Amino acid sequence: MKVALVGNPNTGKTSLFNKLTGLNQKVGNYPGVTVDKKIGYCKLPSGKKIELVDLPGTYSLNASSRDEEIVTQALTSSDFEDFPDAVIVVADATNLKRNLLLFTQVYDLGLPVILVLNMVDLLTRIGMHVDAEGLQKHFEVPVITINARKGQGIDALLEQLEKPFITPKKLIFDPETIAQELIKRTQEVIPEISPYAAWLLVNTPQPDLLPEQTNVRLEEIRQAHKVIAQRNRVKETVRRYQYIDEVIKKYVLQSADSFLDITKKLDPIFTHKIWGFVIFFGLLALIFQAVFSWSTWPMEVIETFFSDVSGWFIRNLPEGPVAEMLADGIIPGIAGVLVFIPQIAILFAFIALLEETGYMSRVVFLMDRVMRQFGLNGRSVVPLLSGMACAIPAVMATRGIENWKERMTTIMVTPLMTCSARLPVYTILIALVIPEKRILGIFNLQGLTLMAMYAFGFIMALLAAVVFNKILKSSRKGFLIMEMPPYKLPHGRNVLITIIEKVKSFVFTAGKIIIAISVILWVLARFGPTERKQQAIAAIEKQSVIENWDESTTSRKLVAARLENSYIGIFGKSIEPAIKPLGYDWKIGIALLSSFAAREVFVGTMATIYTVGDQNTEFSVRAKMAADVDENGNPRYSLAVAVSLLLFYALAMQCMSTLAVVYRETKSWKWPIIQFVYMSGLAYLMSLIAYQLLR
Amino acid sequence: MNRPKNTVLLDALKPGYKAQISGFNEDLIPIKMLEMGMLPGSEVLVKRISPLGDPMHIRVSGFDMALRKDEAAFVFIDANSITKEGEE
Repeated sequence: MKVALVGNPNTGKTSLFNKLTGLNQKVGNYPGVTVDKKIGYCKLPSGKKIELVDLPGTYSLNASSRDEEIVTQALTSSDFEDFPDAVIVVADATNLKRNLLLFTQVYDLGLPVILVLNMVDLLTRIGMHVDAEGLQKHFEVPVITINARKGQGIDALLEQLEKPFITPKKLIFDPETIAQELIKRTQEVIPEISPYAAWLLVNTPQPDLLPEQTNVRLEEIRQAHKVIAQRNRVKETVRRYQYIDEVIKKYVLQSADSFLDITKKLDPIFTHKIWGFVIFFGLLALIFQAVFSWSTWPMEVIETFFSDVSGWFIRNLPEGPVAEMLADGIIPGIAGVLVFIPQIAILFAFIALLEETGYMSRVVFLMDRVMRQFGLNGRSVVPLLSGMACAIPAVMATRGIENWKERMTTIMVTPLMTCSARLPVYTILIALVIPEKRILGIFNLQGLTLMAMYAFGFIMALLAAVVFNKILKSSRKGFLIMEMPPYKLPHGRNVLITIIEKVKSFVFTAGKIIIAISVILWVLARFGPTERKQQAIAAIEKQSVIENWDESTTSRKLVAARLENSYIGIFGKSIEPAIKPLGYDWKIGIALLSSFAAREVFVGTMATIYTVGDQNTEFSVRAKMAADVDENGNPRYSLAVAVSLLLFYALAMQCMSTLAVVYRETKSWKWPIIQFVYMSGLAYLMSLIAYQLLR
Repeated sequence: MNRPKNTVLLDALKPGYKAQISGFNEDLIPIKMLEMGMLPGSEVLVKRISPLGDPMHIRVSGFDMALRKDEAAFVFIDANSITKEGEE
């Protein structure tokens, strides 16, 4: 048996879902939309099991976004796989008027329905009273009062679910009073549909859901009856509210101003023209600091653990490709996925807290004007700035942006923000070419350059946002109509479930792709044409004898030769003509290619190519790079080359993990491909210009 | 819908003032605004305007919401009904 949970946003619908199902949930996909499909199982006292579907929060069945359309689809079409046997409408008892709009719509669909009034505990505190029994008599369907956070009233709800479902017997809004003929003709096309479902289908075209032929016939009906959906929806909404006003008058006692005191006191501070921004940027600094530095220790633990595991395999397995693949391909791949968990968990702990307390709406209220200039939304601020730590949790954090276009724009530009993986690359390159000098006595020139790189990433992200805003087509005008919910204390369990859900969705979807690409990259770096490799190895062994190298020098030269003659090495060499105009040689080419696994790999690859030992890698790589000369005897890493490389690393999309997450969030390969092409194209162009000008 | 006489657009209402909604631009208003309770006859109070000049924080039909001035301009208010509520 299937029961759907529907309700307005911020009604505690998810709290109820969590309470009913515990961790017995699974997350799936709806085709074509970005919201997750959450299904859970709930055991009734009698042992009967029901399947609960947590549908996206919506204010109305007249959907305003693609994500909201899912709710209408799920409830109107019996062909839809989530078509429920009954519906639970979760309503915020302190805001009954607005919540009843959705309830009366679901009521009119003709499906069995239960009305759950949540947050009843708040009613007395704000001087309100709701007559639940009166409502039950009025609507002739079960009405149950609960407090989802504390778990009160859940038993009564479970008991109710044991009983036979009750289908509403009347219509609150009868569309036939407006358009009898229209409804009749629609019901001829789709038999067995209720009059109100027919009305919804006529007003909201849903091409993906219905068979082609049905769509064509519905479109004919729309044309013949000159349906103006906007006007119909306005009519419906106004009529329903007229009805609801009567219901509220009868069953709800309300004091003049029911807003909680605490919200009245906090809002003037949090949205203050000075303190509002001080508090917001202070919080951002804290979040940034947390994602950046609190994660260091757990990340090191994860990395050390996996490198120990790799070492164990090398020591305990027979030498050969199998052991190497485990130790150098698969295990580092798994480590490369798990290492992001601390950052994801920390960022989402903060985001869940901001959302739960109601503060996030105030952030949007403060920042919307600024972000709008760039085609973004007030909600883009947190993902964008989190991108300075790591783009992966940042892209996942764009979920809160309702408008599709603004969300896509945010996702597309977030990886331009300077993430922490770029830092080691920047450090090495800056140290190579920027003298350690002080300007005006206090500013360190190298530090200033690093800061300029951060500013550059930010400016490029905003500029790219402007461009995407121009290019992306959306039938829906970007608007901001947002609830300003009262402040609430956060609920630990909900925060925890959010974190677990985010980590799980990263590990199991993006993780698979990341591991697969790591293994492919390893294969390409490990293997090469046998003959070519043997020749190179033979040459080094010969040279080693002639020049009397010690053992470690020889083995380092061998490792370098293997990489040079692997597929990735050959590929790196073969792209030399393409990257020569940017000032790069084949060594940099190989580093660029292997950086695709993650940007910081640049340092390690350079270490291998320049055959430095393990100790103090960064410093010795820098020394080797500084000593390298080109064919004319000039330093290989001139200012022009270093600037060109800095620009390349700032702009190019070299992070497969981010691409995998973008795929996960947009549910399509189209977006990661566009992102890869535009960022890398931009990187090539800017590096080319910089090198040719500075050379 | 033609704008009735003696109306002001909601985006012109100053913080701390309230008024009756007399109608709206039926063809352009996002349906979501009606769903959130911006209905003819309801009272709307402008609580504050964001420090950067947009959006507005209003209270209507018993709950608080933020909306951009562009959207507020779809809502007509009765000029005679404007009264001062007092700023927060």
